[in-house]
Amino acid sequence: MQVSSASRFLGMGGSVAPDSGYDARARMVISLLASAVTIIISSVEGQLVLLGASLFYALSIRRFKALAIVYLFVAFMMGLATLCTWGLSSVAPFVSFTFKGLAVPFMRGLVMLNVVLPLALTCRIQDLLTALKGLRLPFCIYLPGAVMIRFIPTFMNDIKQISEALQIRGYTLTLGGMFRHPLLVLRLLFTPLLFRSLRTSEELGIAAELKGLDAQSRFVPYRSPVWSRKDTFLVVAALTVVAAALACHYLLGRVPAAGHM
Amino acid sequence: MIRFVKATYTYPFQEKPAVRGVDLHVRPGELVLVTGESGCGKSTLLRLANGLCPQYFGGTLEGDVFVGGKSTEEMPLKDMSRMVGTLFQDPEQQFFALEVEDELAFVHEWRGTPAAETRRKIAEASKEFLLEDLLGHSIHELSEGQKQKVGLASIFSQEPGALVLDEPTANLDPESTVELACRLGRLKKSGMAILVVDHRLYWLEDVADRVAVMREGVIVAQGAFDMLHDGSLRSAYGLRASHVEDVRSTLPESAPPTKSPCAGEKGLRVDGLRFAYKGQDPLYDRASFWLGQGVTALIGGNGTGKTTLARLITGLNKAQEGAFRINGILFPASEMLRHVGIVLQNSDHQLHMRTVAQEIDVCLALAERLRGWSKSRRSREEQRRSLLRLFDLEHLADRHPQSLSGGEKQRLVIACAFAKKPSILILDEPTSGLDGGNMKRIAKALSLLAEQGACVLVITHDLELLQASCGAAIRLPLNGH
Repeated sequence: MQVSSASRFLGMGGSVAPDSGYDARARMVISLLASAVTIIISSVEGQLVLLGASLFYALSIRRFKALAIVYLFVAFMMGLATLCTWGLSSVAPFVSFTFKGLAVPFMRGLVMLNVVLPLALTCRIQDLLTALKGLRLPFCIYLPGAVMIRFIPTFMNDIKQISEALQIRGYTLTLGGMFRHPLLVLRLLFTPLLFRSLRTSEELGIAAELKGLDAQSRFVPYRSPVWSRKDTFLVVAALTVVAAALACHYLLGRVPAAGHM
Repeated sequence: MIRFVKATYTYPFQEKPAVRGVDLHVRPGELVLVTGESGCGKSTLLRLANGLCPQYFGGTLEGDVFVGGKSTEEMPLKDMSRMVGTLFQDPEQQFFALEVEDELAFVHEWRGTPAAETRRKIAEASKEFLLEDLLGHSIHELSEGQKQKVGLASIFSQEPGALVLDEPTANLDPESTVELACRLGRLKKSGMAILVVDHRLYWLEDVADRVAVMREGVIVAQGAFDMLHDGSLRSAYGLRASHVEDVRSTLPESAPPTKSPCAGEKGLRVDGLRFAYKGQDPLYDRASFWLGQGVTALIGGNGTGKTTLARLITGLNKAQEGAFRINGILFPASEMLRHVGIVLQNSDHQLHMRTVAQEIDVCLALAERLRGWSKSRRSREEQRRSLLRLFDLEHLADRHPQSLSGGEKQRLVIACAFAKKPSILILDEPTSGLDGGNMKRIAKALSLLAEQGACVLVITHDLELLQASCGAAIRLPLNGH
C-alpha cells in the first residue's frame, strides 16, 4: 500500500481510517455547546477551564501531530494579530493593547479549534450530514456547514504538503527569517495555500453537485448512527465542564476583560 | 445518447471560446475517443456533456448539447449525474467522503437507495475493482492509481446510461489499463455511450469506434482509430503513439558495479532498507537496490509502494533501517534531501512566486546557496533562459505560475528541480496527463540530465516514456521484500 505521509502526519496512520468511537451527534452537541459558552464567558479564568477541558477532549482523538501543526498555525496567526494590534496601539493610543484584551479572543479560538477538530477528523461526513439534516436546518445552512467541516482535513493535508514542498526546494523557515523577510514567508506559505483552498472549495462544490446533494434529495444512510451510553457520558461531562467554567467566570472573574470581543 | 450540435462555449470573463462549433454524436453502444494537444478544449467538451458547463461554471453556450435527447442546459445537474457518470482527470476532485467505503456509498445514499441495495452495490464495485482490502482506508492514504480505481468503481456502481472519462488511465498501471479497456468494451456492448478524453491512445485501439482530434477548440479530424496510425497526423496535432511497445520486461535490472560499496562508485546504493506503516506488514524488509547514472525506471503495480520508496530515499518518510550511500559515501536519511532532488505530483503546492521566471530564479538562487556556488547575474539569467527553452515555457515567463494549466505547471516544477542541478533526481509520474509533444520534451530533458552524469529515477506507468528515455529498471517488490 502506498500511503502519503501527509495522511500519516494528520494522524491517519494505520491501514484503516479510525472509528471516532462517538456518535457524530454527540460531537456536534459538544461543538455547539462550546461555541455558545465560549462567547458568553468573557473572563480569562472561565476560558481557562474551557480551554483545559477542550484540549483534553482534542487530545483524546490521539492526532497529536495534527493538533500540533494546527496550534502552530494558530500561534502564527495570533502572533501576527498581536504584532498588528501593538503596532496600531503605538500609532493610535486610543486602541488599547492589554494581555486580557487579546487573551480572551485567542482562547475562544483555541476552544473552538479543540472541539471542531475531533468532529472534522473522526466523524463520517455522511453522519454529519444526517445529524445536521436532523436539526431541520435549511439546506443552505447545513450544506455549507458540512462542507466547511469536510474542508478541514484537506486544508491540513495542504499545509503539510506545502511545508514539504518548501523543504524539497531547500527553504529553511526560521523564526528569525520570518521577522527579517515577513513578506517572502507569507508568500511562500500563503500563495499555494490560497490557491489550493480555492481549488478545493470548487472541487467540493462540483462533487456535491454531481453526487446529487440538494434539499429535495431523500437521504438513506446505509450505516445508521447509534447513540450509546458513551455518548451520553460525553455530553454529561461536557455539561459539567460548562457549569464549572460558568462558576469560575462568575466567582473568580466577574470583571469583564478589557477590550474583549 | 450524447450529442453536440454546433456547440460553442465560452467561459466567464473570457473572450475566446474554449470550444467552437463542435458537432459530435456518441450513440448508445459507441465509444468515442477525443484527443489533442493540452489546452485544446477536450476537458471542456466533457464538462459540456455532464452539464457542468454552463450550469456550474457559468459562461455562454451557443448551439446545443443533448444527453438522452434532453438539453443539458435544462436538466438539473442532479438528474444529469444520474444519466452521465463522470470521471475527472484528478479523481480526488469528485470525492466528497473521506473513506473508500463511504465514498462508494455516498451517491447511493443521496439518491435514496435502500441500505441493503447500497451495500450490494458497494460489494460488487469493490470486488470488480479489487478494492475490498481498501474499503476502510482513508481517501488521502491511497496512491493516485488507487484513487482512480475508486473513482471508476463509484461511477460504475451508479450504472449510468453514458460515461464521460477524462484521462482515465493517467495513473493506472498497464495491467489495470488493459482491464479498463476490456470493461469499457463490455459496457459498450451492453449499450452504454462512452466519451473518453485521453492523450494515451494505444489502449483504446480495439475499443474505440471513432476518434476526434481537437485543436484550439475545434474538431479538426474525425474518423476510425486507424487514422491515428498516420505519423504525420500525430505529429501535426501533437498526439502520442497509436501503438506502444511494453518495454518493462526487457529493460535491464539496475545493477551496482560492485557487490559491496566502494569509494568512487557513481550512483546511489541503498542497503538493508526496512519500512512499515504503523500497524501494517513491512513494505520494505531488508531491501537493497542500486541507482546508477542514466535514466532508470521504478516499475510496479498500483499501490506497491513506489512513491513511498522515493520518499524514503529523500528522507521525507523515515526508514526504520537502511544505509544510504551516494557515490560511495554514507549519508544519514535526514541529509538526503540536500543531495537528491524530487518532483512530486502535487505541483499546485510547489509554486509560490509572482511569475514563472521568478519561480526559476528563486530555485537557482537556492541552489547556489545550498552548494556554495557564486554566479554572476548574467549567468543566472542565461540559465533561466535555457531552462525556459528546454521546457517550452519561454512564452509564459511573465505569467503567474498558479494561472498555468496542469501540464504547464508540471513542466515548471520539473524545470525548478533541474535548476538545482541535482546529481540524483527522482520524478513521480512526470508525464501523466501530458500530450505527445510535452511527453517527448520531458523524455529529452531527462536524457540530457543523465548525459551530464546525473542519476535519474522515474516512477511511471507511461509506457511511451519508458520506451523513450529509460535504460534500466528497478522492479517492485524489491529483493528481500
